[in-house]
Amino acid sequence: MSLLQELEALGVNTDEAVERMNGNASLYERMLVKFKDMIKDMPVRPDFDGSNYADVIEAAHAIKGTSSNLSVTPIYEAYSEIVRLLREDRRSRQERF
Amino acid sequence: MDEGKRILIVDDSEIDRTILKSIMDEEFQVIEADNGYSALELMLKKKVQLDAIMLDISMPFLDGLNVLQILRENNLEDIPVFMITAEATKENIERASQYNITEFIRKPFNREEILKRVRAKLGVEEKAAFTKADIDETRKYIADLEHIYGHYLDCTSKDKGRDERRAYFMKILLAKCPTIEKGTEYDNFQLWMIGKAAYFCNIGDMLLFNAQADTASQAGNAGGDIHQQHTVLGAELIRLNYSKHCRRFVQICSDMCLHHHERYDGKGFPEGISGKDYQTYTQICGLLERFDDQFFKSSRRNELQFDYVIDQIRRDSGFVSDEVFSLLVDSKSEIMKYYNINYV
Repeated sequence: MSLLQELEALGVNTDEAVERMNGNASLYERMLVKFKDMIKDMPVRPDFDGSNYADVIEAAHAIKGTSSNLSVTPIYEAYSEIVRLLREDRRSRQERF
Repeated sequence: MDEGKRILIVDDSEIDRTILKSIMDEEFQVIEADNGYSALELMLKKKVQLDAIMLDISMPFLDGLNVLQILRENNLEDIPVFMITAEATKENIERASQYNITEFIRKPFNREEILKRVRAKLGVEEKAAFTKADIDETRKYIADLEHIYGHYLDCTSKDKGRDERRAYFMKILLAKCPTIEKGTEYDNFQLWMIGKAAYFCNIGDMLLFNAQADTASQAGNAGGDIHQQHTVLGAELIRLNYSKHCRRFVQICSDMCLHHHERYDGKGFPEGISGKDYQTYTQICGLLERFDDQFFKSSRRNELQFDYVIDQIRRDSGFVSDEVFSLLVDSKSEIMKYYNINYV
């Protein structure tokens, strides 16, 4: 089973993403490797004791956007929810203080 | 590519930037900047002339809207701006409304939609499916391959006509395929190109030892490593051409080399792909290879043998899709004509 087939089995819409890149599957595979590094370098770990969520939301938002472009649907859905929760939490903190 | 239209893509995400570049550089000259400061340096200090900017709204240090503010202060508001965003939030739209933004481009990128909008704004007509450079370079690459592969076939005892028959019948079957566009000179070039790609599907044999190559490409061979090697090696060989003008041919031909022994039900090799992953033209290529093995090698090349071979393939359900199989059945009269067999 190829890498793309394995990803497809995990819910990644590889056909859609490769089509987005004009059918260039090798470019897609290279971007997936970069995406893995991107997630590693951008940990979304909110500082629950701090009040400034901006950086964390920014990181989560970036991962959400890029995962949608790579059609990595499971990560896109997870980060959409993370961004929503972080924003809600920031709003409620702002209202509280 | 319209060399006269130059677009600057500004996005801190290398991945998103690369994807957008892969969409735009088919038709436009693309410059990249990975942050707002670099973009401003290009425009304000280096005075690079631009026809449009594709600007990510959300970037660290200097976001897209801050870049627009500085452009306004420098009287550079007239350049069309396509604002890239993962989501058009109320806050973003409110902030953006202060500036002269041409369009919002949402992630995930929709290739056709983006090209359509940028073309419309810049007054650029949709480019032909193949440029003159695409056609010229692809023809040259195919001629070079024919020269090398022809020399190889001359040096072996292989049936040279086998590849030619496959290429010829490929065009006949494709002409009946409803999903293949036909009519324009570009469509005709594409049909010719796919036929040529089918011709080279066993080119990987060249990279095997003679004794191995004699058996490697034969459909129905017991298989094993040699069988798989000629497919993988052929695809790798074809992909050695990195010219963007030959990209479409390389994509089609390498797929045919790699996958012409696959099956629609996933029981083929080397990767066991199935269903929609098994490209229609590659299915046709695999089907024609099998048909030729059973029909041409028979001492009785007649209508009865054609029907017999068709029946054998039909019984092997899952070999190719029903649609592809019916293309071969529907091509009976043309195939009979090729072999000068009387057929009513």
